[in-house]
Formats: sequence, structure tokens, C-alpha cells
Amino acid sequence: MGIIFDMRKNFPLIVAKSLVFSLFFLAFYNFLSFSQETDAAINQSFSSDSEVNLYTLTDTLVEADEFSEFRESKNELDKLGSFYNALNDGGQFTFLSIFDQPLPVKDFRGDETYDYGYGTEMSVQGKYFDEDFGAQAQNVKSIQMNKNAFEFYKIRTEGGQEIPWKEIDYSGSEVPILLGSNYANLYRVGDVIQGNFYFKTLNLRVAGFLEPGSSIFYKNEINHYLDSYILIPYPDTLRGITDEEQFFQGILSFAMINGDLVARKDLSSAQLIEDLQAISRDTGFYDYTLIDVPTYLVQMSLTKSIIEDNYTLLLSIILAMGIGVICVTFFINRGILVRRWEGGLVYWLLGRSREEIMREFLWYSTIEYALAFLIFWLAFVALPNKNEFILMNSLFFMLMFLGAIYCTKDMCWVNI
Amino acid sequence: MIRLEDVDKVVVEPNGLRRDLFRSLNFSLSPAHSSVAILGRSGSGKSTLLKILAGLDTRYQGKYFFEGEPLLKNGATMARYRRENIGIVTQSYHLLSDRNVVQNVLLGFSGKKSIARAKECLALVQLEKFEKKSITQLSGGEAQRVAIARALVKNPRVILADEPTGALDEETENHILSVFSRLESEGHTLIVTTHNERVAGWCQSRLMLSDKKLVPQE
Repeated sequence: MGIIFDMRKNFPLIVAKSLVFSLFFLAFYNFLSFSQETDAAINQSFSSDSEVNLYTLTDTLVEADEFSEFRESKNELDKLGSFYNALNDGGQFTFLSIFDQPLPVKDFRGDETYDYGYGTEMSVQGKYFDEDFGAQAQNVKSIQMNKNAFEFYKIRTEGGQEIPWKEIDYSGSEVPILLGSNYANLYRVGDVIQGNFYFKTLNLRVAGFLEPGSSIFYKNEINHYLDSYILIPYPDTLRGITDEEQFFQGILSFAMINGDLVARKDLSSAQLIEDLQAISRDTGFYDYTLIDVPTYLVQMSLTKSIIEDNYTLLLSIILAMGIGVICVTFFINRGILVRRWEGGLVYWLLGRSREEIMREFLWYSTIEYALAFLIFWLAFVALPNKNEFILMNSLFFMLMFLGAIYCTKDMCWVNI
Repeated sequence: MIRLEDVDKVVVEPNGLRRDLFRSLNFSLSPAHSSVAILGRSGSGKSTLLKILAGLDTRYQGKYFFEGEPLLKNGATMARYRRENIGIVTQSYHLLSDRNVVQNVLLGFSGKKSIARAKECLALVQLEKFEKKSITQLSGGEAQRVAIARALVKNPRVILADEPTGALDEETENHILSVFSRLESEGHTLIVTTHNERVAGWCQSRLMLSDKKLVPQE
């Protein structure tokens, strides 16, 4: 009958209603998005894994001479390797080996935001000429970790690719690596990057990309984000030291035994030390010490409480907004319906049944909600936190449709 | 053509009391009638009777026949009946202010709209030059004639007019009556509720609502 006339007549009210709805949907979307991310964060950081004690294992070879002497002894390095292997085999604890040794990369495709010093107190070196490569290079943020650490922090790849942990071998032709999500536009899966790892040139094959926002607890930072990092996996076991690679393997072995021990809460530190001493006796390596890391637990519980408080606060806000939206739209709806019913009464006098008029008004309302959906969608496209929320959008649309039906029902109460 | 049989109608007053408005009311309109005036004092039920005749009010006891056939008293049936056979003119015109004159007249079509027919009806009520004029710019008499043109576009058998000159001055009233005369001559039947003696006098026959019934008046 007169959709265009209706739009023209009620335009300000229709736009106001659509805006109110779309803004509410956006707030609701952001709330769901936040709650999903919160759930993910809690699942990642605060699930059963957080109900643990964390200790830091560090070597005690602090004197340069002592350290150098140790590294030059193949026998000592073998003991160190055995110690690492035994730690990895576990017992009553899980050994998380993590280190952030920067990686000089030949002909690096990224900018200075990937530089080791970027975002820290250190200076950004940027690109430079590397004599070993004979080409331009850049010291890039890199993190190395073993399988235990990877699994403990529930790190996942975008495409679901997995690291062949058993096949990690720095003596091989290629080492599979994962890149942080920021690398998605720089490299592709299968690309080979040349990197200088502890003075050894490695061909690093891109096996996948980390999910955006992947993070670990590192250096007392609760969410140490890996989006700009190159993740190099550590092998499960250290094989025997070879003459040719003693220098490389010596440094690597020390880096690898520096990590965190995760133990159940009911396991006392005395029992843990006893376990470690047993490993030391078996392997012959004693030059380490154990540091309790209460900050981890304190920060974890603090962060968890902040997230949960925010969640409750946001839930309260969204509920209050929902009630507000219902009140505001009630008055807008009444306004629209009263104006609309002026025409409805004329149609009725001229011979249209109430049902026909209701059907027509249902179309008008559907346009209002479709407009709200359109505004929401345009804003959604511009959102930085876009996600797999197609299902949620469908739910929104259904809500709008139900709202339109509600409007029609509401009209039945208008007296004629 | 139209017959109401034993109509009982109860209304609820604003103070909550129920009052019998009609009791065993009968009404019959034969093709021989060209115009009928329904008279009565305020509150006697003139407008309610007109709503019943238009099929706008179906909450009453009794039967409604059209051309000998009983009509079902449900909204859809009555809407169709009204659409096909009845034109309605009210005291407050019921024109849509967001449309111009011809757009309002076009509302009267139930199916395919014809601009030519709309213009023809506007000419019949002597408003041929008002097509594009906004409703808000019309006088009361002009607005009433637009409403008549709108009622006419579908060429209904019966035109129901509820106090059609109630808000108009004498000169404009004469205008409207001359339009009604023209409609009569074209074969339309008019049923007019009024308390205006001149309008009643103009009609071919008169019925008075009295004691909950319709009584012929000379």
C-alpha cells in the first residue's frame, strides 16, 4: 500500500528505532565477543593448569670461565643433554622450556615492529648488513619452546597445522617453525626463511601461523603475546654432542634447560627437589637451582578476578541496556503505531480487513529491523574484533524478526 | 438490497453500565430507495447503526442480508463486502495528510488503480483542479468532497454518509447536497445519518431511531 509513504512519514522515528536496536546489537555482539575471549583466556590460563605451582629452573654457571669450561667439555655437555631429556620425560612435574633468543633473519620481509628491540627498552636496530649471510638481515623477535610449553599454554595454529615434534632436528636440512599471526601477510605456509640461530644458519620452513592473540606467561608477564614472534620448536630429546656442532649444541643445551617446572599443588617443594636430585644422580648434572615463582600465581589469580569482575560488570551493563532499549522502543513503537494507525483506519474504512492491515504493518516493521540489521552489519564489518559469529548474526536476525511479530501483536491493542 | 433483521446491540457506557442500544431493530433498503436519512437524538445509535451497515461493527445479535443472502459477521467477510459494495463518507473525512488529493482518491481502489477514474470522480465533485493539492490546504467542504470522490472511485452500490455536513457551513452544505443529488441521479443509493433537518428533508425517505428501533418518519 504505502511503504514509501510510511517511510517518509515516520522516517525520524524509524531511524531512531533502527539506531537504538543496531547499537544495542553491537553492544551485545561486543559483550559476546568479550565473553568468548574471556572464556578462551580462562580456558587457556586458568583451567586445571592454573591449579599448579610454578618453579623456575636456572643453571648456576654464572662465571664466564666456568661456563666456557663447561661448554668445551663434551662429557659435561652430554650430562646436560641427559638432564634435559630426563626433565622432558617428566615425573611428578612438567618441564616448560622457553627462551626468547632473537633470530637474525636474512632478507626479512617485515618492518621494524618485528625487531627484537621493538616495544622494549632496548633500541631498535632495524635492517643491517650481515656478514654471515652476505646479505641484509634483521634481528627478529623469536621464542623457542618445547612441546610441553606449547601444550601447557594451549597454543594453536590458524589452520590447525601441528609441529612434528619428534622430527625436530637442527642438524637436518629444514626446521619447521610457526609464525605469529602478524606474519600472515609476509610469508606463506611452505616458505623457507634463513635464520642464524646461535651462530648456526638454519633453513626454517613455515609450517603454519599462530592464532591471533596467542600468548604465554613469560618473564613475569601474564600475557606475553606472540603475534610478532617466530616460534622455533625445541626437540624432545637432545642427542649426543658432535664435534662439529659442539659450540652450537653447548649454547643450545644451556638455553634449553632454563625453564619452568610445573608441579601439582599438592606436591611439596621438598618432594620436587627430591625428584630433581634423583634425576641429577642419574645424569650427573648438578649445576642448577630452583626458584619459586609466586608472582605467577598471584598474577594469575588477580587477572582472573579482574576478568570475572569485568564480565559481571559488563553483563549488568548489557542487561540494563537491554531494559533501556525495551523501554525506549516501547515509546518509539507507540509513536510509530499511532501515526501509522491513522492510515490503518482509513484502509479499514475503505474495505481492508484487520488481518490485511496487520500484514502490511508487519512489512513496515520488518523494514525497520532490516535497517537496524544493515546498520549493525556495516558497523560489524568495520569492527577490529570480527569473529566467526555468523551464527550469532543469524540469532540477531531472528530476534529482529520476532520483534517485528511482537510489533504486529502490539498493534492489535490499538483501538479503532 | 440491504436488510437487517432483529438486531440487538448492547453498549457499555463510560461509567461501566451496560445499555441496550437496539432491540429487535429491523431495517430494509430496497433498490427503489435512492436516499434514506437516519435521524435521532445524540446517543441514539445513528453512527453505530451506520457502522453495522458498513460491516465495521459485527458485535451484535441479529442477521444482515445483502441481496437476499445472509452475511457472515466476521471481519474478513465484512471487509470484502465493504470493499465491493459500500462507499463511506465520515464527518471527519479520514484523509491522509501525507498524500495529495489524487493520491487520497486512489486509496479508494481495492484492486487496479485508475488515475483516469480518480480524475473523473474529482470532476464529479467539482475538484478537477485540485489533484496535486495537499490535503492540509483544503477547506472543510473541499476535504469532504475529496472523501466523497474517494468513496466513489470503486463505483459502490451504496454510499454511507455519517453526518456528512456536520462540520460545514450552509453554503458548503448546499455544495455537498448538490453532489449527493448528482450521485442519486447516477444510480447510487445514499444512507445518511444526520440531525440536520435540511439534509434529512433532502432525502427521499427518513427513519427515526427511537426507543431502540427504527421508525419511519413522514
